[in-house]
Amino acid sequence: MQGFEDVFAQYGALLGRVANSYEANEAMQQELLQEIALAVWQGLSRFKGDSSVKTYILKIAHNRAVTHVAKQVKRIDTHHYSQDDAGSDEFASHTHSPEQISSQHQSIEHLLKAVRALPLQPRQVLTLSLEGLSYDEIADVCGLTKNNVGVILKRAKQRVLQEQPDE
Amino acid sequence: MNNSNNQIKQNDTLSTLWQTQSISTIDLKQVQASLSSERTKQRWYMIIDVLITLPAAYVLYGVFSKYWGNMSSVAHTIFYLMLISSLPLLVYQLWLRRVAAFYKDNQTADHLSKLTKQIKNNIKIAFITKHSTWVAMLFGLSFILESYFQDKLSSDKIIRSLIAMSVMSIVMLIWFIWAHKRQKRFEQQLETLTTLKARSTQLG
Repeated sequence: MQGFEDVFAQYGALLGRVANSYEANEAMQQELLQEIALAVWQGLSRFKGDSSVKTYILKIAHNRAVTHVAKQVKRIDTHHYSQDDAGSDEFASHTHSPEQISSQHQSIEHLLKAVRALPLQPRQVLTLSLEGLSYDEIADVCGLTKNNVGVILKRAKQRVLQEQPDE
Repeated sequence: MNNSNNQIKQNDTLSTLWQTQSISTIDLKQVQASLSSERTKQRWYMIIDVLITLPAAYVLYGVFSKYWGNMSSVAHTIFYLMLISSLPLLVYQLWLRRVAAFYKDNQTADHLSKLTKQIKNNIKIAFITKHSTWVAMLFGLSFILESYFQDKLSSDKIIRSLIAMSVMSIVMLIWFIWAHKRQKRFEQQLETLTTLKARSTQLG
């Protein structure tokens, strides 16, 4: 089995995206990511190899995120936060013009807002699909049938695409 | 055909866009520190759980070994009532804690229902804890009144009993407020989860 540091090096970004799909505020994202990382660290010792490491840690990450959301009773509704003040800007590339970067930034913001506005199950199904998981793997993570995954995913994508600005 | 091509293109765009979002980075040192403090915390909880039974065991031992023979039938009845009411509650609390104690890495749908159940159980535990405070006070008062009416209390002992009851009432009041706050917090958590679930059902 992979060591913890290897797992975080390989799947750290993936776990970061899970955190982003639940929290919009940068500080809350960081807090949730740390909680997820801790849960994954503890969970990896129980990993028996029944599935891939990726689907296993995604299951842990989403469960931890749901617990986190439920326990933030006095939480600020982070959907209303703008991320214009977000620190890092990893997608910015030297090969893109400032206009392109700004447009891409806006598209990502719209996507994240639409994803966070989705109910829990469609949100999980859609983000797992966007991470490249197959219907079978999504069904395994969420405890759904393959057909159900297809239906939920289709509706979730339609809803998210409706929210996307026209190119 | 065009529609299908458009959909595939849109899906690819969505996936690409998703992968390019900016993300926070994991602070491994902090995770390690949290893991270590989590372990320490769990060990302390276990020690406290064991230690908390010691005063109760001491009282039981003291009552049976020293005072049982001198106690009146009324005091015996109060004592039995106390045991009869507290033991099932203790077992019930342990039963409620089983959801959290035997948690596994569940599928996300299962996690949601288990988490809901666990929060509901936490509400019940907080409710029981809250109301056990005034019940404990009632039992304490019953023992004092029993001794008083049996003329077993000297004026010196009455003063000591009153002081003990005052201290106990302050402790129980703090305990009551703490349990009440916990109950309210868990009720709010349940409300949040119920909302999430209801929204899930609408679209799912």
